[in-house]
Amino acid sequence: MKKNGRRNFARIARYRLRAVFGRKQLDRDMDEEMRFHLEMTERENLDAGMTYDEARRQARITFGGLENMKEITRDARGISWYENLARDIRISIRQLRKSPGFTAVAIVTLMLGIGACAAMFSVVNAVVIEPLPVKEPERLVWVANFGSGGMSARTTRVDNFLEWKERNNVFEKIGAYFAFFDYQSYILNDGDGEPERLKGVPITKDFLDTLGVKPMLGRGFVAEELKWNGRPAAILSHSFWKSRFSGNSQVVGTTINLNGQSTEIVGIMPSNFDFDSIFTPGTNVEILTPFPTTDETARWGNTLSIIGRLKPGATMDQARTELSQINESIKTQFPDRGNFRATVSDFDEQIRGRFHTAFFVLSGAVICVLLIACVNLSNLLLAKANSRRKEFAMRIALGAGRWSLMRQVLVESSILAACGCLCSLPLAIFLTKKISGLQAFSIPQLQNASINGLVLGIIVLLTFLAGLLCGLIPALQLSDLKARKTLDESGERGSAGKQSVWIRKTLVVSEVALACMLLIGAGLLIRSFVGLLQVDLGFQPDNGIAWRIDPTRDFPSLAERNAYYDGLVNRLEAIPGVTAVGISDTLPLGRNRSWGARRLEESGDQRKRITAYPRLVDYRYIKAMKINLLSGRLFGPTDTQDTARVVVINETMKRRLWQDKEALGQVARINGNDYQVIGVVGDVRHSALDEKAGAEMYLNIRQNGGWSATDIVIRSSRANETLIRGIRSAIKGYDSSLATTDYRFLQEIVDHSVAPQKLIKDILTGFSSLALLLAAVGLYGVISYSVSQRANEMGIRMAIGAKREEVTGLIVGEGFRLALVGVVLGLLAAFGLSRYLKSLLYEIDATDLATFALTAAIVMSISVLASYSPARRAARTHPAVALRAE
Amino acid sequence: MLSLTIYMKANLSHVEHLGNMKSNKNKTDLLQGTLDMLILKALSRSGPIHGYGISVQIRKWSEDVLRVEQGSLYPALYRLEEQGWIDSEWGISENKRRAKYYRLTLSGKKQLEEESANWERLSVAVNLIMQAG
Repeated sequence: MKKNGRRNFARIARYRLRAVFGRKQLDRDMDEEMRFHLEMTERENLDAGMTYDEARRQARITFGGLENMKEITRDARGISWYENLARDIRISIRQLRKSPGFTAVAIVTLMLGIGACAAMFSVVNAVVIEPLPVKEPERLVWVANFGSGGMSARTTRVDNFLEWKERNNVFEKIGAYFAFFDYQSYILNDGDGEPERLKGVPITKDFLDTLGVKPMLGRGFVAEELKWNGRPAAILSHSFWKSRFSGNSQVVGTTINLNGQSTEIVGIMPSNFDFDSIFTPGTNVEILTPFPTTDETARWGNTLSIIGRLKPGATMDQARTELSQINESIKTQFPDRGNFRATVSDFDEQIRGRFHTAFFVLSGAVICVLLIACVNLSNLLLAKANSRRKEFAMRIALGAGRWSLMRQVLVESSILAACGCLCSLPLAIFLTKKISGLQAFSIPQLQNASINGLVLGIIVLLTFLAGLLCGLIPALQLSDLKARKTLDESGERGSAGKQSVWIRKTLVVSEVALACMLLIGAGLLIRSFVGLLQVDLGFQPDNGIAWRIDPTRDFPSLAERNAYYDGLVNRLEAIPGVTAVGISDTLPLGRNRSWGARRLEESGDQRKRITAYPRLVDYRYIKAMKINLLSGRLFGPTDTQDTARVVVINETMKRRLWQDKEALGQVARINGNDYQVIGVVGDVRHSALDEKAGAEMYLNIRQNGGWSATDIVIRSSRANETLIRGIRSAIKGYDSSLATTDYRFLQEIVDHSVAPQKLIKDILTGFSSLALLLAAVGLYGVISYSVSQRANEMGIRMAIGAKREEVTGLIVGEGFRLALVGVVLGLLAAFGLSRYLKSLLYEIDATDLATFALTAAIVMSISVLASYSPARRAARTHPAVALRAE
Repeated sequence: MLSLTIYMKANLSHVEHLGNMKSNKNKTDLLQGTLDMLILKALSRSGPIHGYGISVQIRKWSEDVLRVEQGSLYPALYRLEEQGWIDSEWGISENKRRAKYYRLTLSGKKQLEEESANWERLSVAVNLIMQAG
């Protein structure tokens, strides 16, 4: 029985498939069969002695209507919903091909809407939704020091880290990486070609285990490598392995020359884990190296960024309580370690929490764009349906079901949506690639954005919804048709009812409102961004280049190191076009560490301690960066190791330590040494453009050790390729072991620091421009339609003496009124919603009057423009033509 | 002469219930089932034959009492074919024309037996009622 059932099913399926796909063949067969029957009946009649004509006539009478018969037989053949659907699709495609202009506009509209949505969603998916590529990220926490302030205030001493690791009961694993890795350099010198500077991050023993990530090939670091001065080893990032070693798995176990030391490649990271895409987005990290947690590194102070994996069931609160207990006991045991804390926070939140708002805003915006596209299409379909009212009314009168008519409209809109979806795919892929390829944007996981299965699913769902949404209103409209009434209506076009006009106007008003709202959002972001760019940086980036210099050699003394650098600077200064050269180990808007500084009273008492950001610079740097000297003097060539230690401080540091008293000549104690303040300079935005400067102190590299890698700032009359070549050969000529590829324009550093804001601003601007364009097209459509509907009226008006300008004015006025309602609604909506933008705005109010007013003016003028062209067309029509049109 | 035109409507309703085949199999309703049964019987008696032939045979065997109209015949044939009770094949007719020949399948034979038995019972029952009074 069961087997039989299955066979039956297969047969029925085959039969049905043939009914749908072999329809033509079946129809032909049926036709032939019926004709055969007819012929046989004729023959029979002839045999019965009828005349030829009579035989034919009688045969036809008995047979009945041939077409009718076919229809009945076809029904028996298994016609059902899918055949109906197939027919609707065929009819729709025919309809759509008849008006290619409409079809193209509709598909392009949807393509833009769906494409933008898909691209945005793939980005949001990567940046916000998809879990970080680590094991069970929900159990990971950051353990920061104070939690805010410079990097040094967030990082922790090695010895404290070890205590936490030993004594805690809440963490399954706890690991860390060296937060100031950017102060170190790894020069890869493989004999042939240029030495290459790599970015490497030293990690502690359990770092990878804590994250739950394993090297794809090879192993993690072992004890001999994690000792102080242990065996050199490195784990390569997947992308570096691919690009530099062309993915050759044989390199595991071989050695490379790193910083002059033969270093073993012990492992390769998997492709889905990029250290930089999580921890340092926008900065390529090519290798991981072992970080020894020993007494030697403990002396470096706060250095570690710590990540803990909570035991299953353990909470962050438990971790907080336990760590603070441990800290109390450390503080009593080792009072010299100073003040520190353990701030526990969610790992994911720390990594990408601050981007949530921005991406939710953008998602909202892109959905608005899609909505506008749908509304537009809905409007177009409505207009089209209205022009077919007569046809539909006729079909209803002839007995077509309402449902079948509605279905046809819905099928039509779904076909459009499906085409739009197909066309949007390349667009979406292009946009996603474009956005994720922007390495410069320091947004975690952005580079991993791609159109994956989930995104595809969402696109299809969106398409389906869009199709339904677009077709729904026209379909409902049609289903309301009163056959008699519509057929009675006069006029070739069949004028639309009041209700339909009302719906179309509502749709267009909502479009304008949405577009207006988005534009205000974009306007706010643009103004905020412009404000951000106008911030006084405290230094001048134009025509400045920062060149990273990492000599791998050892210098026996500080004086010799300084002599080496002086020699290089002299070479660079000699290049034509170079106006100033200076050295610093900490450029603005980059890495940041902080040291403690105290004010020293004349009595020798230590007073007031603050945290300040040290910059180890040469005497030329402040001038080369064009940082303002406010009072006192800068370092000079005469300040050396043998003269008194001096410091230049910024305004903020002066205010914090000495308030409004004179700071020059005062003494500050930094790292146990006393420095006399010789000058006060202006603040420099050093962590971000929208963050005010902290206390900064400039220390002279001739008087201080503790620096290795530096950036040389080269200011010139023109920073171009020739100059770069000149600098490169000068460096090469001075010391051939220096890597010469690592330079950045100061302007690039500034741009990079505002890249996320710029990305968000650009995307929202793009979306809102698209929205405005679509709304304008929608308005144009509605006005054009209204003009065509009112041609008769216009003809009469002009016939009885209305001037052209009056007719134009009348039509433009209609558009103006619609737009005005839309703009007012948009303004209100923006007023209510813009506070969600607040966290993204810099020094501008979320209800900034100028932005609101300007946006309203823009939308209104575009609207008037959009209605002007149909108005002019109306006014140009000769009255006689307009009247004859009916 | 008894016309079977009435089957046309019934056929349509049958088509709409194709999904219910299992229940239809044992509980074929009278009017609808009768034409199907006659066609199956005709095919079983005469072997492979075209649609026109079936209508001629039924007329002949019923001594001109039953006349199957084309509007009922062809839908019924298509339906039976879909049920898998009959098969079709194109062949050449006696007067050298291409014609579609229908043939009873194995399951069609079974169905015919079942329906004949039902018919037997039914006609006996109807006769009993009709002769009772």
